[in-house]
Amino acid sequence: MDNAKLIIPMSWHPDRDEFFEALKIRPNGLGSQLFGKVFDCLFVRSHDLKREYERYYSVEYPTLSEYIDVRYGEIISNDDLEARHIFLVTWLPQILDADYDDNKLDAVFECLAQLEDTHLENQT
Amino acid sequence: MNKLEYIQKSNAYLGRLVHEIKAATASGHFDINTVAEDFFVPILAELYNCSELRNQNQIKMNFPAVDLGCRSSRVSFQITSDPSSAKVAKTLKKFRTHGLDADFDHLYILVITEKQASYTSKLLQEQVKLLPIDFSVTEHIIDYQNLTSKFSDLSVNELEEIYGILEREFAKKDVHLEFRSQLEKFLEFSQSKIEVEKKTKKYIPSIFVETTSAKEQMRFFANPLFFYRKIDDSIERIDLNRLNGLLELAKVSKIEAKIDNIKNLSEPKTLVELESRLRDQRDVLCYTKDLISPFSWESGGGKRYEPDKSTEIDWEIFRSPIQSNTYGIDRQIDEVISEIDLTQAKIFLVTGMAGQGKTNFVCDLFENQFSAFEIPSIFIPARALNNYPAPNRILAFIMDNRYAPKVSKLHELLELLDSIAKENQKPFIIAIDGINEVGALDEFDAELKIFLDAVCQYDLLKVILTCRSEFFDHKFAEIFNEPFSKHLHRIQDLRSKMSKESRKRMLRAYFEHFSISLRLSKNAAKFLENDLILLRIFCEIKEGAENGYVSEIYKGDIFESYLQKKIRDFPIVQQQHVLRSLYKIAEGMLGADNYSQLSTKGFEAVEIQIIEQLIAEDVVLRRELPDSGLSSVGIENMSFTYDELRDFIIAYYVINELSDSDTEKVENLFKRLPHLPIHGGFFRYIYVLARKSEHQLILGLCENSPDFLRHYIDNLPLLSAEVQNEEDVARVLDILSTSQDAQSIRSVAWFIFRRRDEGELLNAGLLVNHINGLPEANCRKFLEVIFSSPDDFQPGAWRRRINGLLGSLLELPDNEKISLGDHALAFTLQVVGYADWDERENTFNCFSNLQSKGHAQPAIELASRALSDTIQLSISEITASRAEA
Repeated sequence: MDNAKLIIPMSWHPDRDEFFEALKIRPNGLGSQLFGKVFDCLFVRSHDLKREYERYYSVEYPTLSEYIDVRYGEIISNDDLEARHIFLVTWLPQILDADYDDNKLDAVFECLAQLEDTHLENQT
Repeated sequence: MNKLEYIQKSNAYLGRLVHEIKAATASGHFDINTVAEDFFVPILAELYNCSELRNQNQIKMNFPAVDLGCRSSRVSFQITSDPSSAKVAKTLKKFRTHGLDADFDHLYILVITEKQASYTSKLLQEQVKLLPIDFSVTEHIIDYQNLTSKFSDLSVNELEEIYGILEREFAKKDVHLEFRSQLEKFLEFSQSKIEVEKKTKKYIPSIFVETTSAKEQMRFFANPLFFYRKIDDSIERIDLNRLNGLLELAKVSKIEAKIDNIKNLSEPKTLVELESRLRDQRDVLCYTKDLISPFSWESGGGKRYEPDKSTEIDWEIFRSPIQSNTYGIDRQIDEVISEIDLTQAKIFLVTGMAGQGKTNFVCDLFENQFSAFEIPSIFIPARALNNYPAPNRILAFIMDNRYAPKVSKLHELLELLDSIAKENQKPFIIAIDGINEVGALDEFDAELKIFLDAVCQYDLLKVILTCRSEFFDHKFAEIFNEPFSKHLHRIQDLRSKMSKESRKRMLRAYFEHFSISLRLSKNAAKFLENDLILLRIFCEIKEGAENGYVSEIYKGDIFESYLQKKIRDFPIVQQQHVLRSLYKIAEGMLGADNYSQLSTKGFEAVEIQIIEQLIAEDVVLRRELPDSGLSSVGIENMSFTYDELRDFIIAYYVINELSDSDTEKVENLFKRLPHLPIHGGFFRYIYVLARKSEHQLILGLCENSPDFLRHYIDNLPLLSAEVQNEEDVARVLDILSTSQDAQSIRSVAWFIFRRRDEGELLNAGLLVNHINGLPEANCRKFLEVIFSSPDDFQPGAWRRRINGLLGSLLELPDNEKISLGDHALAFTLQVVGYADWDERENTFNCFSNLQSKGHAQPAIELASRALSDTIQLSISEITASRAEA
């Protein structure tokens, strides 16, 4: 079983440029190198559970929540299950690792929450 | 039959063949030509006197211009369903350009549908002229009517021969057709074997916790045409851009991999197309791996990248991110390659220790994966093969099905199953579960090799095997030396580290399945979660139990109840024999001083029957590797599945049987006990059983043993409430007060701390009272001992452990704190004064808070009886702050 380090439900499709902009990072700068890795780990190398369920596992498992529970041992709330994407992250770079004092996990989460709000507003 | 009848019936067969070929071609089954080539060989050989007629494509793939040829009569045939002039002209051209006139003087074009009424095209006439051999469109372009017209020239014997060939071929085809219409029922019957596994509780779906990694690997193996898209997804994620960007900064040439060429490929329609597509993808991945490996941390023994002088500094600046990035890509590629290899594997082997869930794994696949994807499959519980004669047990098992095809040879069956797989474009899977359960393993080893070798000759047949590791390594490991081993994929650790959540879920599922609604203490739950066999035994004896509370798990009691239940499962006339058989095994093991296995030699038929039944359930007894050699034929080896249950049964035998019949033997056994491998376990259960039955002889032998006190401390958790007495209380208090051995004090202190049930004589109250009776210096010393560990090298480690204990208390919600009980809370008050400031203050506040809500008062009163000044100070801090509030 892949152990989940983070589960990120999102109602929008992640976009690298938007992510950098929200973190106030210039493209092609040092920050973009550092946080490019963060973006990859959260949204490229992670599992998009909703997509993988629909494409591969809906034949075997009756519901998305059962699939996530059986496969990853995680219980997801109904609200989160409705998100467009549910990213399950199994590996974190040092910059996001809560075991390190100078990690930027909170800053990244704050930025994602802001982006999520903006996208939800745009949708309504 | 007379000549006319032979001709009429043969004509009818050929007419039917043409009709079927037309229908097949219309449905897009163009491979019908290939099938027809072989069909016509014996008929044309007879009609055209070419006894050595062979399919040329079998000699050389895609042999040009002619499909069939006879080198001795120099006659050749091209078989085609396309009757057009263009096709004939093309064939003639190929014949000429490949110089086939060197081998053949005659060329016939056999149109397996119907030939045209005329062949007058200029193109064809030109090719006829250019052909170095004689060719006439009227004579050499033939169809089935030309063949039937030749029948009248044949003798009765020759006609009989032709008719025989046609009859056999169509009979085979008809059998296949009949079988296909019955296929669903045939496979349903096979699936019904899963129900047998459920009834015998070898497979309990509701308690199965998925082994996700193995199940995922199976998806690529069993359903490649669906799951190849996951491989595409993984390839899509391989991105060399960042690595190339870094290489550019380090002034190293970019990697020109062709990875983009294997992305966004068109969808394969068939497994054959998929195979070639995956082969191409694998080649590019391996090529890419070779290109990047010099930059990785792990160059895999290959050459590492060395910069030249001019770029040394640039390389050094970017070396680390380049190596890290390359390592990541390298791992991604390795994962994809292993997924591709899984799609191409033909044998999926699962080995593991007993009780790891191999049968559950396979049955779950059939019920939830193969059935969902309609993957044609057959399930064979290997122990059922014992009911069939060697050396064709697997074939005999499959054919022992009312709806089985009427074939007599293994290859006929496999050919048929392969054709079903081709029709469905899904592999046909044969699973043989528990090959270690087949008797006469040596014989079966040879049979299995022949079977696997045969299966691997077919494109779309696959096999799943499961086996206990030790059996596989001893008896079947030779499989790895067989040519087909390159198609084998092995999983050695099926149940790799199960998460805490999975264990909890499994405990819940077990309770639900066995309708148990007992409440468990945390200790008891943890005990069962960590021991799968004990969990199974516990659930079987507690099936249907409700409204009870289990504070502790007493293994001895559980084993006794379980054996009683198992014995009652036998018919009344056999029940006494069951116990006697188990005694006989115990006696045999003690006599041979071999506790890992015992042979059935010397057991009576009725006992062997009982043993076989217990082995079949795989909980009390299990089969072991048999000895080799003529003298061991018909003799099985067995052992106890669970070592602790073995120790319990041996102890039970000694106390209930041997001690009555031969006291001297028992005394001798105790003398040599310290040197026996069962020492610890045997002592544990014989002491507990002796306590229960007040068996003075055994109790005396136990208590006079030189290491009795050590055993006593180790086995305190096994003394249930009914057995505990005042002598135990005195013994425990004596250890706490006078023992010079820190480890003994720690063991006893923490054992009674965990006992919260005041109904038991040995409970946490003894610890609290003991601490209350210690003056300050002794109290501090005592706490230092019980909170220390022999591995401590830093001073003050014991205080940090006190901090840890208080920290875990503070994390609990109030209701859980209260539920710990007065003695546990009093203990925390006794130790809080020795903790660091933070924990001390927080704990004081916590108790003040609890006290203000009307809780914790009994605990405070208990601790206030302490002689220690530190404890008294803690109590006054709490009561003072409560008063201030």
